[in-house]
Amino acid sequence: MAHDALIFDAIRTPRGRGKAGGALYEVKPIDLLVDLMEAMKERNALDTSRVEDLIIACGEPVGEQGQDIARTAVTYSSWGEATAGVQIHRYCAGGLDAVNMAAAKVMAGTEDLVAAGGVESMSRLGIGASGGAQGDPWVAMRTLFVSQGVGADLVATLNGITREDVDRYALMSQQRAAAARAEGRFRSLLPVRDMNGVTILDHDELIRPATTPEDLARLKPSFAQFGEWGQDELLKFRYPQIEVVEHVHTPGNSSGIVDGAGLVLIGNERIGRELGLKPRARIVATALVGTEPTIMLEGPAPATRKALARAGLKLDDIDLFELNEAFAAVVLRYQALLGIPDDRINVNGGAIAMGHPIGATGAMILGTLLDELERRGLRRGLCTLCAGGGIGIATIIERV
Amino acid sequence: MGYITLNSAGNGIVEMVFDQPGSSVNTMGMEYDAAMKAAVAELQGMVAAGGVTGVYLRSGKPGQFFAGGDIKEMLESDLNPPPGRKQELFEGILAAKAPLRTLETLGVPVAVGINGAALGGGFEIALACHFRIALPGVDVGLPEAQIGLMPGAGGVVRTTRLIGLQEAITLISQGARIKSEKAVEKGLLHEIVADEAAMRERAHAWLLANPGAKQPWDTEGYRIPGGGPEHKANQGLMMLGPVNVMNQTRGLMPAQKAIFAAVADCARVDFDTAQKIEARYFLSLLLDQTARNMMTAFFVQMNAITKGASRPAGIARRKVKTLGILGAGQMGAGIAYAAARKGIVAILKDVDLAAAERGKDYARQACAKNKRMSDAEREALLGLIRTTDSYPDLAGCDAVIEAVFERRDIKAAVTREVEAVLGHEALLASNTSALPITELAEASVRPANFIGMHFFSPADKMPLVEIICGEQTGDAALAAAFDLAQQLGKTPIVVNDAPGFFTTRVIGKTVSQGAQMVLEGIDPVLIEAAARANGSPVGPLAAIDEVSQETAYRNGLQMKADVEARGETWQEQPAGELVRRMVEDFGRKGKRFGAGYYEYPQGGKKRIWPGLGQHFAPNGFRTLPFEDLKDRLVFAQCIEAVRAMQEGVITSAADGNIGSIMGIGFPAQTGGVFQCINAWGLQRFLARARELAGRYGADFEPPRLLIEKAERGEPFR
Repeated sequence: MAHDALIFDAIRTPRGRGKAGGALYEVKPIDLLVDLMEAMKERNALDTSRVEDLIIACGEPVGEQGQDIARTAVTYSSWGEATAGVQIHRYCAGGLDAVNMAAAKVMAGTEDLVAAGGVESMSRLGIGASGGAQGDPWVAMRTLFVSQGVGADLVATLNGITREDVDRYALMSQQRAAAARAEGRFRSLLPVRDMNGVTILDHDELIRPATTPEDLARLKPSFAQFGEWGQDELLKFRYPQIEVVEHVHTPGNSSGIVDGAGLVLIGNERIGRELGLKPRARIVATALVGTEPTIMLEGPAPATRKALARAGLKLDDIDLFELNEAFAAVVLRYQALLGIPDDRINVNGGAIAMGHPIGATGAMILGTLLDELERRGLRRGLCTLCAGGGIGIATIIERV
Repeated sequence: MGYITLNSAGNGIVEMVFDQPGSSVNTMGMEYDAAMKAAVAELQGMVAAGGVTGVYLRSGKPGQFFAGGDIKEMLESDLNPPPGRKQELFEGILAAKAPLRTLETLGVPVAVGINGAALGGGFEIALACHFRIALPGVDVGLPEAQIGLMPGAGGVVRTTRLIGLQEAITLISQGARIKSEKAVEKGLLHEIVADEAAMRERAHAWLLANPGAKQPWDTEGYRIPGGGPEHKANQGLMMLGPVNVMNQTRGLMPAQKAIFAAVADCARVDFDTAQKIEARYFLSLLLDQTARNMMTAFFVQMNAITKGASRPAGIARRKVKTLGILGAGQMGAGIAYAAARKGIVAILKDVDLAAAERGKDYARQACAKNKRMSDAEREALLGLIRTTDSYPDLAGCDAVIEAVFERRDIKAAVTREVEAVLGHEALLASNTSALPITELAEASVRPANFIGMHFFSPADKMPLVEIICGEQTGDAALAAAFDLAQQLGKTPIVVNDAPGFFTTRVIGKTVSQGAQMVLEGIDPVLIEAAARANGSPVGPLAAIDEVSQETAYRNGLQMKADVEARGETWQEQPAGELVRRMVEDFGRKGKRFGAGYYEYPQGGKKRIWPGLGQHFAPNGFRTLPFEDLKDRLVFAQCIEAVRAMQEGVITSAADGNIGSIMGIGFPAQTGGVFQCINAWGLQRFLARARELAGRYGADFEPPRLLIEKAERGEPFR
């Protein structure tokens, strides 16, 4: 018999600038994660011995994020030893996929209570730190790999999305995030504290409320160099209709590099009752898709359609959408394909303003979405991300 | 006498001498495998028995070290063997290279004396020796990549370990031959020794002085120079290298892909594992159609051409000391410079001295740019180019190449004037890309000495000369033209006289397909991309921009006038209509005018002129399968080549293959216009041709010769 997968809690750290000098640079990734675990335990008076698994996504699972950081976090925290702990990798989709996997276990009835999320210290382990088979020359030649940013520029070029379009979107993300932070809308955000309880960071560090269109217009394209290194030419193997790639993405309209963690607690109704946990939402449907890997960023729309079909819902049944702002063109393309107006998507800004801690983002933005549904008194939300190799992921939640 | 002999040479030194019986050069084939295995086993026994202090490996052939793998043997092997046979082949490759590993781990030092070219397999043998010395100026290297292969006898493994990833990839994937001095600089060889006796002496001394010699990779604490694929210093190479391989080869050259990957893969593991990895990649190329195409064209057929397969037999070779050149335009100037570089006196004539001097300026500028040239060399070279405005100065020429404006009356006039002063034996060659030689010869009083030599622009750089025999051209003239082309460092192909000869008419078909597609409303970006995806260096639209629409238009009008002068009816071709509109309606006359099918923004990259879409696809581009676009551009050329063969314009598939690749940029990986058909499989090619004919017109209608060949299952050889 299938069970409902209920969300009892969804929390996150603030996002710190992901380089030396960023507020969370001094914090070990395991501490980002364990801080949340301790907070989750405390705010829910959680009997952690009942949490059967901890599924943690990480984009660079090597070094101090290596092996099974989830299990190490369990043993290092005050959670005791009963929670098993596993680390997963699904590129940028990892954090949401951890949640979906936890939900699947609960729905299937193999487990009752699972914590899931992700952690990423990009300041300490930058993109590429864990290597990967994609970097193998033979593999790279056969898969026609280009940098994700070049893929984003390709999305823009193919769809006539201009530099003005992406900058306009980026400005909106900054303004929305600034407003949301100022109004305290990020209720799932918990400060990161040191071993003495002293606060290290209590707000999203990357938001630039004073951003002007002129500031954005001044920025140089981030990926033109990759294009010159041959990737613009390489993508023509799959897109021969492209004569010139328009490199519209800059640091201003692409997701920022940050540190952070997110954690979600998912279980069935019975354990909720037993442990006195109040369900905030139900996971209605989840979806994964694989799409063309060179462009890499086209997963969200088909993942959304698939999740809606699984749930038997229509686009209009979704009140708010949260699409990770990997690159502005990804959001604009998604909106155009599905006909989603600005006022229903990323209403509190996104990764362009606040940053995208790879493995953690999916779990973080699910909490952001739930906070906003609650604040507005709305019912359903859909959270989706594009991910490496052309993966797309989506999750539909419904407040209960 | 066997292939390999072992001789005691005193002081415990054993000399291992390679001398393949019945062959002018040593090659690496089955005969080598057996001999090497036996010889190394015997050596092992001698070392075990004691008293061996070292091994000196050398060639028994004077001035010839080792020529490399046996290409014929490889070409004759089955392309699609059953799985069991593949296993045998793999084990065979491992077995063939095993003796080299034994040799370098015998426990006694091994030296090699390279007395002549050591290429491919020969160089791989040398790399398995601890001390490698060579005579000055001999060619060494691993040229396998040039014929679609890679080293398979430890060459990748050892080169990578010797000089590092970056250098190894560059050396092996370019297939460059380098001089022994350069090889020493790169760390591939140890020393240069003046002559064979000194080389032997030096080797013996080294062997005695280095009893504990080991290969670097068998030494404790060894690391690959520059680090392995994961090393920070190699990050850029590992990330950008594969992209460059794909872009530069359009993904069409399996050898370059395999070499890059094999170097990286072999660097990640120990020596013996690396040997296996190398063998697997090597086998994949041995069983690859592209490698077969390239072995056929660039080894077998190229060698046949170079040896004179298309040159009349029994005529003594002639050498030109003084070459007259009429017309100091772009072609004449290029030919003069090419001649001077080969030590030929070039007498460059134009209507006045100033024009002739302007032609010589081409050589002056080229010399000035050449940093490796000394002032004396520069002066000597330029001294060989003599300018004149007077025919009598050409009196002593052995041969004259006429490179004046492509107009019959002008060519006829200069023919008459120059023949008046030339000796009776002198060759008179007309450089023309399309004017019929038989007609031009009408102006000649010695038509047997009159021939066509079609040079390609820029004449000093392009490697091909298309020799065109007119009806009355004699064998002696053909032989002389052939010799002159080779003397100029060019590869000659020989064709018979007909409109457009061979190369011009073949490339004309891809150009007209390109034009037709524009008129059909297809996105010009896709047309050019299709050519690129085929492996063509330039697309059909860019090609016309280079020549200029104006020139193409003028040539078309000339052809029309010719046809009408013969009383025939001119049939307007789509390509002609398109250039007419470009020139007359849009004023886009070509790249040198700043506007053609492309726009040429100042300081920016060229882009397709949007007007093409606006005028020829006003309601949006028409969509066709990309494979059709690609095949139209290639098939049109192959089919035209078959027609030319059917008409007797070209008689040798080898000449057609090499001519198409070197003259008109036909994709090299196909092995040329005729080999391309073979590689498709004649039946399959025929079926596809009929399909294209049904959709896109008569250019794809298979000629009778193609149908017959397909029926007989007889490839174009």
